[in-house]
Amino acid sequence: MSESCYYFTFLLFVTGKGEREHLPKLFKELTTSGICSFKVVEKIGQRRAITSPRRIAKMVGKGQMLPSKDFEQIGAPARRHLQNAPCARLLLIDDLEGLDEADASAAFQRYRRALDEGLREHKERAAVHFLVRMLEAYFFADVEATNQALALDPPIPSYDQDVETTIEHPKSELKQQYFPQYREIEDSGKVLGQLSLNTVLASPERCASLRTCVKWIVEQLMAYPTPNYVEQFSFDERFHLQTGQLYVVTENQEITQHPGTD
Amino acid sequence: MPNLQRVVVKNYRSLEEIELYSRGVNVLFGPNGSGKTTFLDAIWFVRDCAIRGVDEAASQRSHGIGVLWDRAEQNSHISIEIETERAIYSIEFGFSSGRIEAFVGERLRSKYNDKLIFERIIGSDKAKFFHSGLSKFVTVELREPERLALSRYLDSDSDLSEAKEIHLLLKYTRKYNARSADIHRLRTYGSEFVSHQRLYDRCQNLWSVLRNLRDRQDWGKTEYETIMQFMRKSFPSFNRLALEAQGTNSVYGNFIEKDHEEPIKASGVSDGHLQLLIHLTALFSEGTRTNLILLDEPEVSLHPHALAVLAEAVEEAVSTWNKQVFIATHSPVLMSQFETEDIIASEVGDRGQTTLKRVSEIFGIRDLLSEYAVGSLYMSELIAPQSKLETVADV
Repeated sequence: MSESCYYFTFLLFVTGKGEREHLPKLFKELTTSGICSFKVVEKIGQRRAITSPRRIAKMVGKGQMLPSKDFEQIGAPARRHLQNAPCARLLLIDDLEGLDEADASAAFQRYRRALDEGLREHKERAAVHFLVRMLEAYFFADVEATNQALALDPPIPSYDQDVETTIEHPKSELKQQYFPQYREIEDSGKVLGQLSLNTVLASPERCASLRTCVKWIVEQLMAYPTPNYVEQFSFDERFHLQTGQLYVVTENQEITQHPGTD
Repeated sequence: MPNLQRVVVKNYRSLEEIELYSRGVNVLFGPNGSGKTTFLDAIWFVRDCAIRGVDEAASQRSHGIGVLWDRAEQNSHISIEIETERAIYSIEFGFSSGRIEAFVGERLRSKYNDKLIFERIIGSDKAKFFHSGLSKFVTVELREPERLALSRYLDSDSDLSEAKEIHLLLKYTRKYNARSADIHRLRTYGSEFVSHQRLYDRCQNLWSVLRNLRDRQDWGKTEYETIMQFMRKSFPSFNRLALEAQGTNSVYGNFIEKDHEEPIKASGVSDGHLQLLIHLTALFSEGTRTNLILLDEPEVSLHPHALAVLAEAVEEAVSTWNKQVFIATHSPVLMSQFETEDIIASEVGDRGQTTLKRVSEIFGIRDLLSEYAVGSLYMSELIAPQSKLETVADV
C-alpha cells in the first residue's frame, strides 16, 4: 500500500522534441486541482518491437545478468526518479505515429517491460501511454486554440472526426494545409499553452488514447487522502473517463493501491 | 576474523565522521571525489606515522595544510581510530599555524577489560603508560616525541599484547596505487636486488621479489607458483617468467609465452600484464603473514577477464593467505565479482561529506541485486550516482 500523498508529481519520460519542451502544458487543466504538477525529466529514444529472440548477456566471472539498454535507459532512470519520491508518478509518453494496433501493443510491451524490470513492486506507479498519432493531432481537436495560438488565417475549420484515427500525419497536414512555417518546438508550446483538454476530450467517441492517459492520471489523484476533494473537479464527467472510448493497448495498467484499500 | 575490525575517521578531508566495520574484503566504489582514496589514505596515514614518524607522514600530505574537514569547528582535530581483536587505538592530529603538530595525541584501550593502556595528549612530549607491575599509570618522557608513543610503549615492561597487535597491523599494512606503480622503471631498468619478499609501494623491486620467491629454498615456492597460476589464468598465452640478473645488482623480467621460444622483454609486454603481476605479487609474496593490503584503482589496464581473475585472487588471499584487502575502484566489472556484503558505496552527502554504506544495506535496491550485477546498477546510476536528476520542463 502506498503512503498518503497530498501532492503528486507526474514525471514524464518523452520521446519527441516538442514533447520534451512543452508536454506538461497538455495537462494544465489537471493542475487546477492544486494537488499535482507535471515535469519532463527524461528524453528517451523511441522504441519499437524487437523481432529477434531476447538474449541475455552475462558479466564475466560471476556471471550475473547484464541489464538491457531498455533497463539502463528507461527502467533504471525510472527507478532513480521514483525511489525516493513516494508521491511521484511516472508517465512514459510516446508518439504512436503510423503503428497499427499489433505494433503498438508490441511497443507498449517493450516499454512496460523496461519499467517493470526497473520498478518491480513500484511498477503500478508508472504507466505507458501514446499520443496518437502524434502531439499535433490534438491541435485539430481544439482548432479554436490552435488558430488563436498560431494566428492562422485562414483558420483551420472545425474538425468533427476522431483526430487520433483519421489524420494520417497531423504534423504534415498542419504544415501543408495551414501553417507552412510551423516550427515544432516553438509553435507546439504556443498551441499547448492554449489547448484545452475539456475541448479535446469533449466527445466520448474520440481521442481514446489521450483519454486513457488522463484516466490513469486521475485515478492516481484519487489516492489523495480525501478523494472527495478530487471529485469536486468533475474530471470524470468533463473528460468522459468512465463512459468514453478507451485505448485497448494501454487501458489495463495497474493502479497504485490507495490507502485503506486492499 | 579480519585483523582490522573497525575504522573511525573524523575531520580528515571529506571524511567528516566515518565509521566502518571491516570485513576480509572491502570494495569501495562511488563518484569521483566521494572519499574512497581518502579513506584508504586515512589508514595509511596512521601507518606512515607508526613507521616513518609524524613529521614525514604529515609532509607527505602537505604538512596537513588543507586536510582538515573544511566545515570543522574551530580548534577541531583530525582523529583516526583503528580497532583490532584486542585493542582500540586512536590518534589525534592537532594543528599549529595551519600545519599538523608533530606531537600527536594517542590513546590505546584494551577491549578485554575496557581499560586505558596508555594516553598522550596533543602537543605533549610525555605519555602516561599503565604499568602492569605497579598497577598504576606512570608518566614517561618520550625520547623522540615526534614518533608515536605506541612505539615507545613497546619498549616498556608492561603487558604488550594489545600494543603489539596494533603495531603489527600497521607494520604489515601495504598500499598500492596502480597509477603510481613505476612501470617505466620496471620496463627500462629492472629492479635492484633486495633480500626480502615485500613489494615496495611503487613496486620498483617487483623482479627482485619474484626472483627471491622463485629461488629461495626455505620459502617462496608456493607463493611464486600461485602468482604464476593466476597469471596463466588471466592471460591464456602466458607460460612463465624468465628472471635474469643484470650486472651485479639488478634483476630484469622477461615473459615466456606458450608456443614461443624467445622471451619477450618486460618493455614489450602490455601494461595489463605488468599491472596484474604487481597485484598478484602484492597479494601473495609475503606468504601467510597477516597483511592489510590497500589497493587503489587496481583495474587500470586490465581486461574484464583479468579483473575477474584478480577478484578470485583477492578472495583466495583473504580466505587462505591471511590477508585483509581494501579496494577502491570505479570498475563495474571488478566490484561485481564480490559479495554484496563486501561492497561499500561511497557517496557525497549534502554538505560535501563522505558517507559509506554497504551495498547489502542500501534500501531500495535489494530486489535488483538478486538479478543484476552490482556494477550494472552502478553503471545505471542506481547506486552511488555521480549525476544529478534534472527537470527539463514543468507545469
